[in-house]
Amino acid sequence: MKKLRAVLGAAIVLGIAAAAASVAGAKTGSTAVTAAGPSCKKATIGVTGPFTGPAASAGIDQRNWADLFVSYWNSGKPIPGTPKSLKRVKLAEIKADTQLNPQVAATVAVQLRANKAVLAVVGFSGSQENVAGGPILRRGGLAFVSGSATRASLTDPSTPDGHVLSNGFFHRVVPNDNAQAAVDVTFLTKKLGIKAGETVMTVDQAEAYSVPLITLATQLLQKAGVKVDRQSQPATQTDFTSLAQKAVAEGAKAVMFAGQVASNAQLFLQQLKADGFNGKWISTDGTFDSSKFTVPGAYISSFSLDVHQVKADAAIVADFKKRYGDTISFGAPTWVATQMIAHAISLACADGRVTRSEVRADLNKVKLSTSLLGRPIAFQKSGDVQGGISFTIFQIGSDGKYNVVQPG
Amino acid sequence: MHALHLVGYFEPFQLTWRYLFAQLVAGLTLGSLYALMALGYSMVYGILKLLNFAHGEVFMIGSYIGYFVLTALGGSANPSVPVALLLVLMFGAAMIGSGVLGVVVERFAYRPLRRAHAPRIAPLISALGVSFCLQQLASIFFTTQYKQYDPFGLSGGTLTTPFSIGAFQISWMQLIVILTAAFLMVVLTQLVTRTQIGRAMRATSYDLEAAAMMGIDVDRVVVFTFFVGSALAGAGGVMNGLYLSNTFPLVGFNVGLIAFTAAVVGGIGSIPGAMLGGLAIGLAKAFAIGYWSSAYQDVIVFCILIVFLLIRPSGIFGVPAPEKV
Repeated sequence: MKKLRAVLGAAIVLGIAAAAASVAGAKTGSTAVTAAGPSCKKATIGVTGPFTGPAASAGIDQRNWADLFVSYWNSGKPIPGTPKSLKRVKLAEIKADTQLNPQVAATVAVQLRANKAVLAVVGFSGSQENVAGGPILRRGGLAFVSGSATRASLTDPSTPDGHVLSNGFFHRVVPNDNAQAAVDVTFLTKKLGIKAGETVMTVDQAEAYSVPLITLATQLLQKAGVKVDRQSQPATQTDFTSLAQKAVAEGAKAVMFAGQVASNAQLFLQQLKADGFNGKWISTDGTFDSSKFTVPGAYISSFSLDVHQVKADAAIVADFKKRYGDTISFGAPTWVATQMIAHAISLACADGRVTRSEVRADLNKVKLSTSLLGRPIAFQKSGDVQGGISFTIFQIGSDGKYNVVQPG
Repeated sequence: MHALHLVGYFEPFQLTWRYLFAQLVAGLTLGSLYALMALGYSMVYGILKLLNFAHGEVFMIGSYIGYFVLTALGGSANPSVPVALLLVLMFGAAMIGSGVLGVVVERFAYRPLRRAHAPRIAPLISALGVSFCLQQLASIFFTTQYKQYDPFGLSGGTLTTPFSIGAFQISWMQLIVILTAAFLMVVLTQLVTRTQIGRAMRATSYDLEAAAMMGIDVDRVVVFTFFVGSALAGAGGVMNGLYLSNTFPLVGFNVGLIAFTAAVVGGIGSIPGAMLGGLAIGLAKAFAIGYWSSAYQDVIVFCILIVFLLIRPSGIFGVPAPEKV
């Protein structure tokens, strides 16, 4: 009887584990890793992103834009910024879900590095993921291009982050947080009328993305003579009651919030409003999720622009909608990140052969005269984008839609 | 002189009764959640001397059950049943679901070790294993995306809008959380002190082997304890969702850690101690944020814990274990 129970128990545990594994496999949608070397017939790239987890809505948007780009590229359709004369090398994607988790990103980096076929990587999405997984890709000689990592220090070799990533490997097609802090603070002081001597509460979520951003914004606000109440609350602690009461009691004219969990922004602002807060709210791109953050009147700054408003993109956006449903625009820069890599591989393959280091070198030669973002794109030596867009400010309308109030 | 210096440190708004009461209410609400959770830790420890680290995940599952009931009944903005009935159904389902889960965990992860007279470290590791398993399974099946109860949509937002009684400001939602927790704690106290199973629980907690020799069905008592403790955690999970909106696979881990601290501060094994410990930590967190900075809330809470345990290692109501020779 005891043996029967033990066997039954083991069977249940194995059953649950098998079911879990099958669900996990289906959700991550990762493609099997091949052992073949690099090829100019069909070049392989890694496409990473948080396809599950708290930032999944942003990650899935990125994945869809990367997928759409690859389908356009492989089928020879016109792509903004890609010259007709360029001989396109067809692409194959290896997708990997990083869950916005540095540990998972590091594991993914090991897998991509070990796969000899992979020539470059789209990603990582989060700054903290780049710090964890980037050095592993670098040791494998892989260039990687992020469509959303904005932490300023990633491209500054004088900082620990920049030191581990080293110039020439990490690239991004989005502006960095220094630009964001400046845009947000200028918007608060010039457009929303926050004056010297008035109080602004700044809140980070005690993680690598939001702390430096809010620190810089706090400094800029203080420089403008604004009184700042600097706060920090981990993303997993979702009780904002006392903070909301404090903001109301101290008469804060605005709250600036940086984090990567949009539903935390929703809760915090709802609690503020319930407590009688009638000041302004501005939060950063981590809260850019129209399915989770819907409080009318709130402002959000994002490195992306609203692709719906770029006339030249109309046909591509319509095609995107047909295939995947509407886009939150967050993923649009990932199209451009994939395009930069695809272009570099095509240049590197001019002699019929390709290596990771050639792709890396050619990445710096790519200069797009225009792009899906409506601007020319190239990389600086540091890996930062040259040209491209600045931060766009959106306001949530009464219908929950994100409306552009200050284009980037 | 020192008092005057302290007054100068605070902003004028922080020295008003209204603000003080607001922090008090916020602390009591949060403390009520911790207290409900701490009770589960304390009850199980009292009887089995086991730190049930999976308790936080039982709380998390309760929170998800409440969320699924809420969603199945139309969501908070448009529920298909009256709000009172909706709340009863959410609490009922979460308490039963979590209670059953607690019993299953005890049956498969702890009882075999108890029967095998495994060393005390074994069930502790087993508890950690169950905790991580449940967390991962929740991540896989429910995804790690935060699920929103959206309490601000319930009854058109009337439940979350504070109302004033003199200098006091409180919302119906805070009242619901505090009163439900108080009601459940009173019921638990009556259950433990006035019923036969309660007497059996106390006897078992005093000496498990002697209780068995006296004819008490110890397994039944343990199962009952796990069911009640887990049901309270399930209720706490729903309250957490109703008050703090979000639920996610790690929600129980964070709350559980603080509730465990509360149980230790109160004197682990003591029911009134768990309640008091939970409330004390809730208040400490609220006042830390309200009067100092949110960045230091956990530093303050855990410094209090360390200092308190240095002074009174057995907690507020804990009794030092007698040295047996």
